Amino acid sequence: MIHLSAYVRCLAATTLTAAYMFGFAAPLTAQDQGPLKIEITQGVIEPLPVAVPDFIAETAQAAEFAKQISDVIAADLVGTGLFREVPDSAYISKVTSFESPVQYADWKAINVQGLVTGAVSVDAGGNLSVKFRVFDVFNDGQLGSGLQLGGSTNSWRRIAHKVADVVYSRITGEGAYFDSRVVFVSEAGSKQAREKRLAVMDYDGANVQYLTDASAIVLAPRFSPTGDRVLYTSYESGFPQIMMLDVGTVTRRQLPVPTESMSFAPRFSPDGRSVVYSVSTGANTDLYRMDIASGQVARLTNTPAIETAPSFSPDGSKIVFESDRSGTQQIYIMDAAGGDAKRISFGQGRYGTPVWSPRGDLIAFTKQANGRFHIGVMRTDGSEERLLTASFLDEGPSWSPNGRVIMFTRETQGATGESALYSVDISGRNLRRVPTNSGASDPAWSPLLK
Amino acid sequence: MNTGQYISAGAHFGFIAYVLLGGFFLNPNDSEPVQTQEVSLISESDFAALSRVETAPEVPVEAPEITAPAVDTAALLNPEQAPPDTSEPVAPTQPTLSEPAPAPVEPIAPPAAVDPTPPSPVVEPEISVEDTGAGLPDIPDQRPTPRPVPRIAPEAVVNPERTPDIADQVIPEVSPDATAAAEPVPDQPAAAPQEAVTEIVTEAEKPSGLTASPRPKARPQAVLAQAALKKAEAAAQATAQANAQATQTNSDAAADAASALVAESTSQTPAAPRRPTGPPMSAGEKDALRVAVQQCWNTGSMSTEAQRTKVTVGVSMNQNGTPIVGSIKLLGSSGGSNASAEQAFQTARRAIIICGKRGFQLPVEKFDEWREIELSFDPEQMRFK
Repeated sequence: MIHLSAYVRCLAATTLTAAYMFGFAAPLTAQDQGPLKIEITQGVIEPLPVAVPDFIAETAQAAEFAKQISDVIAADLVGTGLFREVPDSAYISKVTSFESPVQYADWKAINVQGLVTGAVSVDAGGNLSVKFRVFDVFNDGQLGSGLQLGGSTNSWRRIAHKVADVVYSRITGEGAYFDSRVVFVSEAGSKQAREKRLAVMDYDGANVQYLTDASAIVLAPRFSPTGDRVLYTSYESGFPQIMMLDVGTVTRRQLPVPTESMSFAPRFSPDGRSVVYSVSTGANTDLYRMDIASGQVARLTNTPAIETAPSFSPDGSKIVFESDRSGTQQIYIMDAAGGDAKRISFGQGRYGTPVWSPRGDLIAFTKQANGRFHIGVMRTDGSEERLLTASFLDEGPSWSPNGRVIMFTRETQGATGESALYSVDISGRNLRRVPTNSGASDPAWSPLLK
Repeated sequence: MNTGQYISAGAHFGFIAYVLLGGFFLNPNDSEPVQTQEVSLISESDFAALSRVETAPEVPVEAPEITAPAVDTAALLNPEQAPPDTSEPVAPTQPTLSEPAPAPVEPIAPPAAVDPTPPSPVVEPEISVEDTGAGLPDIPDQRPTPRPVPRIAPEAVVNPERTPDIADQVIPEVSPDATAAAEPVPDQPAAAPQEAVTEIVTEAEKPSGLTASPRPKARPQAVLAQAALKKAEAAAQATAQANAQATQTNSDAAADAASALVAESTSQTPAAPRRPTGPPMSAGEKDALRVAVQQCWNTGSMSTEAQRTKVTVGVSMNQNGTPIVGSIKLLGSSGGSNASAEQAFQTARRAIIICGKRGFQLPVEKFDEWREIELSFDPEQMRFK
């Protein structure tokens, strides 16, 4: 056995020696090893430099709109926290015509990565027309085809938001949300005698319009999936009752809920045909669902605990809500038809006001722990909980139409404390106050307008 | 006639094999040598003394008594009856998280003088914008005409020292005259064309020419080509000599072998010239490239889906460390749709172009190692930053 092994080794050595002597075994070269492989797992998170030169005014009447539209587009993009505007003082080449070719080298030299050019015209009938193009500078090409939007001169801000929506979507690949509105409760006066009115505004705080007067306290407005109706809770009768308001005609009607019980926290189903809400009788509060057309009511929960703040999943098959059935306020999920509920929040503290993301992947909530309030998000199974904010009082999250931004109420401490609206990216970055001309609370984001 | 030569060759080969490999036959058993250890004798009294020390009574040490921890078995058996968590009150405290509880309703004045409609005329939200959606034709020629830039040529002139095409002119003819005419000159600085670069490099930015590596530079291509030529020439001479000797028969094995050698040398040398192969890339050099790229990999503007998409990007490099922009291509992706992969690719592409426009710091002598690079961009860890 040993001799056989030695013979094999001898044969192998002889073969290798002969192979080497006759040059059969060529040495490995770098080319044989293939390309150099590098794995990148870390990067930077910085706003992308973009340039929005003033749009070209192709008619004399368009001059007053051209710069305003450019400014709104730039403000929309910068307001996301994902973009940084390169000032026009840094431009090497000026855009003098909508049809003139883009000097990519000039924009690269000042590190502009996204470029938006456009032109504005107003015809004799007062119709505003805006055409624009988006360029990927470092790709030396256009991002998508050029578009043209038209409308009345009064709607120039909406047109600007729509342009910004297209730019945002083409660069980031994300859904848009600039052309949307927010309904909220406008507040005035001290904490002890505060007046509350329903109001609606553009997502950026512009164009505030009031939907109700200050004669009765209103709470928790919610847009319908099509944005044409608003549900809210009103104390007109001295009792909390659910009202439904038509935004177009500003007319309202009360939902046919028994007046002897208190109903509140309404929210539309994704198809807009039914409403889920809470009804309080005595010390017990349960969830109900009403078909709007027929008025038929179904009870969804039946426990001695307090169940409220329901919110549908985007497909309408599930409902997330808060309940104190475990002794503390926690978040549960159940089928839209009711039945057993599964608890998904298990962290320290109390969880409330859950809202399902339009994408369906996350649930935003309010959390109270250690004397502070937080806005956070978690997956629908309760995992990957992330707290995005922390303050004296943060509550009432509402999702943007693309599921990327959350707007909520922040109230400052003390007798002179005031409520204000804030927005934050779901990454926790870009926390900023939404400008309103008075105190504001209970924001509810509309879907993207048509 | 060849019997004597065969005997001689066999004897020589056997002798060489004996010298090289004799050890395998002479010492087939790899038995380990016997290890020896010196010992010494001790007397009976010494042994008794050693035994007394080892058998000395030990001081008994009592082990601490193990006591079982107190366990509330009742709580374990009946978790639902365990005392509630007193760290936070069960009853809700103000301000509450939920919708306002209906209990503390503020007294509302009777709505006597309240107009059901808002006092001020409510402006109907303007939502009547018409999106014509008319697609604009693209600009016929978006590419601008190249602007004249003095001192910068449109294409960088390749350094002739690295050009492997020299052998193409001399290999077809293996005659001594042809090789003499094409014999390269190793050092011809005056004959080199004016070198151009793709960007302006001022005097202050010029590298000193010193390299950090103490290793000698790789042999230039001209020398390698010359060596290949000499090899081919020697093979041709061997062929001629073999043909002269093979006067009686055409089946001379030596001539065939020599011809094959000539064919091999003439076919391989110009087609695959050996590039200067330096030592492999060190981990530090790879890390430097990784850090350089990730400084420009901006994931902030990527969509949520693209932030879950891993892409592999291939790029060819110039010898000055700059990427060949046109060569950047998406090799593969995972974890997302085609749209998210395209967006992730564009983000990676920008990172390579922007941070590579001045050239990555890569060792020139190892150009063959990084001539082609595959970069995998995995944004998993960036999602929660």
